[in-house]
Amino acid sequence: MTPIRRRRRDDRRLLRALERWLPPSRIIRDPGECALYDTDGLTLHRAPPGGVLLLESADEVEEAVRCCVSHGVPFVPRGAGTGLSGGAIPLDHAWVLDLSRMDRVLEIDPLERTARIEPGVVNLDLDRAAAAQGLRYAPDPSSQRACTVGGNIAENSGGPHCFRHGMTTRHIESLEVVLPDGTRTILAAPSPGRADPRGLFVGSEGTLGIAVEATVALVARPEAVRTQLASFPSLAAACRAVSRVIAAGARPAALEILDRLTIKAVEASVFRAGYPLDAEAVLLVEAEGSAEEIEQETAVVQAACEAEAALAFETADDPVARERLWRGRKGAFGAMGRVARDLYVLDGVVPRTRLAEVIERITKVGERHDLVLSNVFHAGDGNLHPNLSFDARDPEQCARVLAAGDEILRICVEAGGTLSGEHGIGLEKRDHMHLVFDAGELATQERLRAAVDPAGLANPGKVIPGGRGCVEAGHRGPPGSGERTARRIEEVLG
Amino acid sequence: MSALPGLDDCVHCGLCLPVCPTYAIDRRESQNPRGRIAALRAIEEGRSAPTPGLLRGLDDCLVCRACESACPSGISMEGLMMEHRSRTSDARSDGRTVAERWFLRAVVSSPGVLDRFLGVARLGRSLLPAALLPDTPGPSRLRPARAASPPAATSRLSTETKGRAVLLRGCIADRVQDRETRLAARLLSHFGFEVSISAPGCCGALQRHSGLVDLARELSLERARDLLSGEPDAIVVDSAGCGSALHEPLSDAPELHAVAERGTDTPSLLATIGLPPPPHPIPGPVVFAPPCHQSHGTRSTEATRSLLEHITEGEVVLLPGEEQCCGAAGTYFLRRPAKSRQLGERAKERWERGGRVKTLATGNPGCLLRWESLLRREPGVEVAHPVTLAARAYGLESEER
Ligand SMILES: Cc1cc2nc3c(=O)[nH]c(=O)nc-3n(C[C@H](O)[C@H](O)[C@H](O)COP(=O)(O)OP(=O)(O)OC[C@H]3O[C@@H](n4cnc5c(N)ncnc54)[C@H](O)[C@@H]3O)c2cc1C
Ligand code: SF4
Ligand code: SF4
Repeated sequence: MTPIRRRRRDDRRLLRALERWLPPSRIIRDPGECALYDTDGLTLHRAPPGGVLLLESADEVEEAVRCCVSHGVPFVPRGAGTGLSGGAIPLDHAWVLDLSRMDRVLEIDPLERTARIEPGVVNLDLDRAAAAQGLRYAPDPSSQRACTVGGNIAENSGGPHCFRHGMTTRHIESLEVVLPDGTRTILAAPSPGRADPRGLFVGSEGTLGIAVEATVALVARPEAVRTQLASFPSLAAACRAVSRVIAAGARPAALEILDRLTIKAVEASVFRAGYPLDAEAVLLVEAEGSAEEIEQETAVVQAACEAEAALAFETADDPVARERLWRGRKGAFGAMGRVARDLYVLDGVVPRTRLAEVIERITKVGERHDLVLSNVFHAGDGNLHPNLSFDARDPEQCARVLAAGDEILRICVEAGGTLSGEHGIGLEKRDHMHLVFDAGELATQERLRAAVDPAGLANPGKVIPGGRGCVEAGHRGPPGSGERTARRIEEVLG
Repeated sequence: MSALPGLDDCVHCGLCLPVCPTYAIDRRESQNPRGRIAALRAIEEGRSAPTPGLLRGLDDCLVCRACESACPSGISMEGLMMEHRSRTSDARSDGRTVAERWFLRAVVSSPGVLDRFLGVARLGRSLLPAALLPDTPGPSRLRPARAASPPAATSRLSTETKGRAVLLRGCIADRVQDRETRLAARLLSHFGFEVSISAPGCCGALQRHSGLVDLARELSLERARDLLSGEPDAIVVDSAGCGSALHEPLSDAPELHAVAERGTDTPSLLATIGLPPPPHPIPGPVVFAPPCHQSHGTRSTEATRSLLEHITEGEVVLLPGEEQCCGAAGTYFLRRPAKSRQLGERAKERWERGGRVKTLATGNPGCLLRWESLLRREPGVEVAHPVTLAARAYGLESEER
C-alpha cells in the first residue's frame, strides 16, 4: 500500500492513478453520464461529479479513498441515490464512489440472528434473505425495494415498522468502515464507559467515512400480523385517532396516515391499494404478536377509530391482502409524479400530541405559497412528510418551494419538534441546523468532523453549515482545505 | 421540437431500479429507467449534450417495460423509447443500426421477402455449426410458411358457437410458431369458437421498438383491416410482443381501437368459457416464464397461469425473477449481442435456481427461441408455448405436425 501524501487537488492525476487498477468500464467520465449523478431523490438541487467509480469490494473502496485523498479530491459514497435530503449530491465536483455493485449478503447466522452484508445490498433483498431463515430485517423504509442498507446506515433510516422496532441504528451490530483518510477500521460495541462509535457513524451521511461491510441484527418474524385500514372525514380526525390509540396503551408496529391527495394519486397508480376515494385521510395500523395480542389491539384501534367517526374500517390477515394495503403507502411518493414532475418530501418531526394542529398550519403554508401540498406520515412517531409538488425547471416555483419548506421546518421546530425524522440533514437542511443547535454545539460537531476528516474531503458541504460547497453546476467550489489540524481518529472514536 | 410525450411523468424516486435488467448487469445510472429518463430530459433541456455514454444507455434499453409495472408514477418507457429512437434514427449510421433498420423495413415487413430470407438463413443454419451462431434458431424453427388450413370442425365438443375468433399469424411469429397458431385454432374450434386464421403479415411491433414509428403505424393499420374483415368477436394473438403492440394503438384510427378492444389470447379466451378437466394432463411440474410483453404490456399472465394450472398434474411454478427479460427482446439480440447473451445466461441461472424444471412454458416467438437455445443442452427439457401444452392435454396435438 502506498503511503498517502496530501497534495493540492488534481483530478487528472487522480484519474491516472485510478486507471492503474480500475478497468475503464468502471470509471465514468463521459460528461453526460456523469451528470446523471448530479442529484438524488431531492431534485431541487443539482451538482455534477468530477467522475464516478463503480466499486466492487471493500479493498477497492479503500484504494479509491486513498487515491482521492492523495490527490486532494473530494468524494461522496452513493448507494441507490434515493436519499431525500440531497446527501449523495456531489458538491465541489466530488467524485462519486458508487457502491451498488457491492450487493452480496455474505452470511446469515440464524443462531446469533445476524446478517453480514456488503453495503450495496438492497434493503428488501436483505429482508428476503432473512425470511428464508424465518427472520426479518425490521427497518423498512418505503423505498426498501430500491435503497441500499449502506444508505440506510448513513441516514439512520426509518420506516413504518420502526415505530415498534426502532430506527436503523438499533439494528447495527458492527461496521467495517473506510475512514476519510483511507484507513480501514471496525466499529463495534464499546467497552463500558466509552462512547459508542457505531452511534457516531450511523447517521453521519457519508461525512465520517464509508461503510464497506455491516453486521446487522435480525429479529424473529412475528407469529401473526394484522393490517387495519380506517378512513376518516378529516385529517385531524385521523390524527386524533392515533393519539387515542397510544393513550389507550396500545403499541402497534406501525401507524401511518395518508391524506386525500395522496390517496388519489396512489389509487391512480400501479400501487393502487383500494383506499376509499371519498376519505379525507386513511390510517394504516399494523398489529403484530400472538393471536391474542392482536385481537386486543384490534379492539383498541377500532374503538379509537369509531370515537373519531371513522367512515370505514377494514382488517387484513393474509399476506396478499396485507401487502395490498401496504402497497399504496410504499408507492405514495412515487405516485405523486402524477401531480407534477418534481416532489420535495419534507421530513419534520413534532410531538405526537400536536400533529393535528401542526398539519393545519402546514396546509396554510402550502396555500399561501400557492403550492400543491400533500401529506403522508409516520403518525406514531410524529414524523411528518409534507410533500410539495412542483416543476424544477421553473426558478420562480423553486423559490416558492424553498420558502415554503423553510417555513414548514420552522413550524416543526417551534412546535417542539426537530428538522429530520429519518431522511437526514444532507444539503437540504444544512442551513437550518442553527434552528436546533446553538453555535457552540455546531462548533463541536465541526471539530469532531475535522478530527475524523482533516482534509475535509468526505461528502463536503453536507450536514454542517459553514458555506462550503457549491450547488450551482459549472461553479468550482474552494478546494478541500488540507490545513486543518488533525486529531487522531482513534482518539475521537476510542 | 416538441417535448417527448410522457417525459414529465418521472419523479426520480428510483423504485424502478431493481426490475431493470440492464441495471442488474451494469449498475450504472445511464442503464436504469430513472437515468434514461434523466438523460432524455437533460438532452431536451440542453443541460447535457447527447454524449456517447448517454446514447449507449438509451440504445441499450430492451423496451421490456418492467419499469412500467414498477413505476408508481405511470411512465411509459415504450412510448419514450419509440419517440426517442424515431427522432434519432436518421442520424444513426452505425452498422448494426443500419442492418437492423434494413431487416425491419425490407425483410420483416413483407411476407414474401421474409420467406426468401428465411430460406437462406435455414440453409446457412444447417451448414454452419451451432457454436458459430449461438443465438440463432435451429432450422426446424425456420420453416417456410405453410398454407393456413382452417381447422376441421369435426372434433367440436358442442354445436353451439361461442363466437367468431380470428387468429393473427404475424411475420416472424408465423415462422417460429406457425404450428402453435394451428394448435390454437384447433383448441378454440374444439371448444366451440368459429375460427379463422388471418393472412400472414407484420403487425409493426418490432418496428415500433426500433423507432420506425410511421412504418409501424402503417403495418398495424394494414393488419387491423385484415383482422377485422371477417367481423370477429375476438382477435386472438398468441405472440405476446404482437399482442402488446396491437393492445396499444399508435393512432386514433378506429380500426386500431377496434382491434385493441377485441384483442385477447387463447388462454384468456378459454378462460371465458370454463374448461372441462383435460383427458391427458401434462405431467408437472411446469415452469412458466411469462414474456415481458405479456407481464407488462397485455398484462394477461394470470389467464395463462390458470390455464397451465388447469392442464397440469402437479405444480406450476413461476420462473424466479420472472420480471427480468431473457435478453431476446425483439431484435435486441441482433443489435446488442453481448448484452443479450449476458441476460440469457442470467435467465438460465434463474431457471437453475428455480429447480431446473423440465417443461418451460412461454408464449412469444422471441422467448421461445431464446429459451430453446439456452436449454438446448439440457437433457429431457421441453420449451413449449402454453397453447401447445393445452392442445396436448386435450388430445389435439397429434393432429398437427
Ligand atoms: C420513494 C421513497 C421513499 C422513501 N421512504 C423512506 C422512508 O420511509 N424512511 C426513510 O428513512 N427514508 C426514506 N426514503 C429516503 C431514502 O430512501 C433513504 O434515505 C435511504 O436510506 C437512502 O439509501 P440509498 O441507498 O438510496 O442512499 P443514497 O441516496 O445513495 O445515499 C444517501 C446518503 O448516504 C451516503 N451513503 C451511501 N452509502 C453509504 C455507505 N456505504 N457508507 C457511508 N455513507 C453512505 C451517501 O453519501 C448519502 O449521503 C425514501 C426515498 C424515496 C425516494
Ligand atoms: S419508478 Fe417511475 S417515477 Fe420513480 S424513478 Fe422510476 S421511472 Fe421515475
Ligand atoms: S424497458 Fe426494461 S430495459 Fe428499458 S429501462 Fe425499462 S426495465 Fe430497463
